Amino acid sequence: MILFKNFEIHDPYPGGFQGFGDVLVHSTGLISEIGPDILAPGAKVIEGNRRLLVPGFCDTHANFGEPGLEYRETVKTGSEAALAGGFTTVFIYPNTRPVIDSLQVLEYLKDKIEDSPIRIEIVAAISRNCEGQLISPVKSFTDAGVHTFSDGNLPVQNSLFMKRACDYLSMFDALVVVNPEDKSMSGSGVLHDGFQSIRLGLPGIPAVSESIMVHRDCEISRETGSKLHFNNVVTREGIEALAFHKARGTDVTAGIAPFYFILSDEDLDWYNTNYKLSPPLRSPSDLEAVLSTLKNGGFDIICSSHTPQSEIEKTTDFLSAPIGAISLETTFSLAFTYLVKTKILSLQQLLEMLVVNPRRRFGSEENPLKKGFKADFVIIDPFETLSVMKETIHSKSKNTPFLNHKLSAVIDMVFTRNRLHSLHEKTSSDYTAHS
Amino acid sequence: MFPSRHFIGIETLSREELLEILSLGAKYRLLLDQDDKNLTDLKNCTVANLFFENSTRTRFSFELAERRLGATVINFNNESSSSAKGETVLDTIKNLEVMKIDMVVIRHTLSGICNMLSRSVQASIINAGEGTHEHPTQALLDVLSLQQHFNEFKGLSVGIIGDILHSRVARSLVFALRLLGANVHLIGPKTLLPAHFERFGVTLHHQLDPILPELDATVSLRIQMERMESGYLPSLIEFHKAYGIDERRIGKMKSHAIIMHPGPVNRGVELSHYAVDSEKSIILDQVTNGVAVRMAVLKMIYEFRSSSL
Repeated sequence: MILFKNFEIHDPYPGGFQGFGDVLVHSTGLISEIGPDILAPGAKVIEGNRRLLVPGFCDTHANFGEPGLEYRETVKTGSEAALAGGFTTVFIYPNTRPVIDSLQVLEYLKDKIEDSPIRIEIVAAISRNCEGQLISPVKSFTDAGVHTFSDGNLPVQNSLFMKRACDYLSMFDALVVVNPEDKSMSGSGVLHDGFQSIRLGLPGIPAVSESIMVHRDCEISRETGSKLHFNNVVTREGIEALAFHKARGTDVTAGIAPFYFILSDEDLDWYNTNYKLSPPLRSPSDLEAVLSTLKNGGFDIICSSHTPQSEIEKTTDFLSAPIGAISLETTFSLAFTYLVKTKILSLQQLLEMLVVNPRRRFGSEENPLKKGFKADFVIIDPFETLSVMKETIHSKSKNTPFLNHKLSAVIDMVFTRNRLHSLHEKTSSDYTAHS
Repeated sequence: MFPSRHFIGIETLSREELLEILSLGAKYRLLLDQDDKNLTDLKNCTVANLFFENSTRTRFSFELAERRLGATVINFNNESSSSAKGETVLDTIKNLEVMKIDMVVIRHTLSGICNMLSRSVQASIINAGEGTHEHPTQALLDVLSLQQHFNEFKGLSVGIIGDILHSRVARSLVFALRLLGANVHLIGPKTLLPAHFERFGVTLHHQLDPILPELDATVSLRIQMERMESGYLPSLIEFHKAYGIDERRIGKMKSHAIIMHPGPVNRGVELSHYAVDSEKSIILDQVTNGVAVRMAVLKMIYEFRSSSL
């Protein structure tokens, strides 16, 4: 048994425990008791020391590299990065080699996932090889426990195919996840079509390439009755489209990754390829729209959009460089620094977007801090500074625009799957509640 | 002294640095008119010209500039490797470096490749035109030509005409002219002249005729044939009707106004035959100035390298 004593507990679930208190974890990995002044003779005691204790986060958008791209991220390194960022559940996307579009690939991954210290949920491809032409075996996937489908960074372009796929997916009550991008419009573009693309002489991606797809897929969702989620909506036009369709009652939700509530295209450091993202960093006016939408509750989820790319691949010119940045380890600290400390969101609101809404929308096991539930929580030191350094990044890749940044709040410990992980002690001090 | 190991763009230059290059360029221009025009300043310097995109003029111009200054020159012209990505070019340059190359003049189709290379190599990187970003030595020769003609930039109105969006010449020239205090007018169809250009402190026009009588100089940009295929323009004929300089339009220009073009000209498109050969055209003079300003850039980088050893 482990007694977590004198923590500032924030359980964002409705009616969840809020305030100073203790959590007693039983050797089965379940919460035996939560409340003030718990007495547990013989239990190992971990003192709070002004730290926060909150339920483990759930990431609805991460890319690992298995199978086929293990040099970017393995399930093992990705899980370590997730732990370091306080994520105890992570949804991984099918843009692998091969694509997760068959039971064979699913079975291969399931073996790897068993050994992970965190819960990994798989998002299966909507179409074979994410090519937007043949529907992947949806029934087989849902029978195997996969209920989320997406073509990830290769969103379906053909509208009729998308309608048919959504019709089919809706029979299984599956969640359709889209990165909204009209590729015929974004074409060879590599950053926001705006002043910066003009200045650097790089082909731009028009803002409407996003809003067109937000409109299209919302219309398709409405027509087919399928559940729809957008990983990121980052343009003013796209956000307006989203709000319009939400107000109309379409079953649609949206996430937002930290890049898009912190940076704009104007922050691009010359041709630094770590700023090459998909969707691209948009204009300062779009950034403003994202922040005000966060404030008024227009986004449902904060996700990492973790996209590892090897240093070798990123060491090239901007046009040739692959897209994406890692983010699992910094998402909480970035959100805490740029949203909570700036009072755009309360800690409660942030936790709803990192803990509650992701699990509810994506249908993963919930983890309130309540007696009888599996102990699944994160211990955060809000007064410590996180230095984002290449040397201390757990992910196999180091591509992030936040290198050398200093952020508020550090994830100290994670308890999940009946195991306590201390993240900042040199010696391995992981132990289970048995000890 | 112009304070850099590399010469990648006009955007990062100060006004003083630009003027210093121009004044050295003007000196070399005078030298080029003499019989004895060969110097030995760069006799300990080896320059590699890496042209991943076809070019006749700029390559000859750089090579002449290098030889006039006494440098050892090697050439690499490989259009077939024009799709070479950043990391491949970086490897090439690292190989050249160990063969004791001091400077690399590079032309490439990828915007930003010079910036990327300059972060990772010791050799000096000189931009001879990259993608749709900058072509700084072209801007230098253009402003030197304007200076020779008008002496002053204050109050001078220069119109840059055509495919601004895809033009590295336009970007570099805008930066240079703004630094020097000239009024810059960008003229072209909306598809090739997005509104964001306004942030450079220039005026945008989608029609040539209303502004033409106010310009002291026009710089027409070469139009690429593939623009028609991608829906930017209906046809070359239509482009010429709207933006081409011909005899009729020359009649509407100021009497002292000059016609410039970075070359090679699509005759009958940007400029009519008449315009190319008219006495307002200083296109060939621009070419001579090209050698002079490139000599200036090479010499200044060489001095920077020598002083920072």
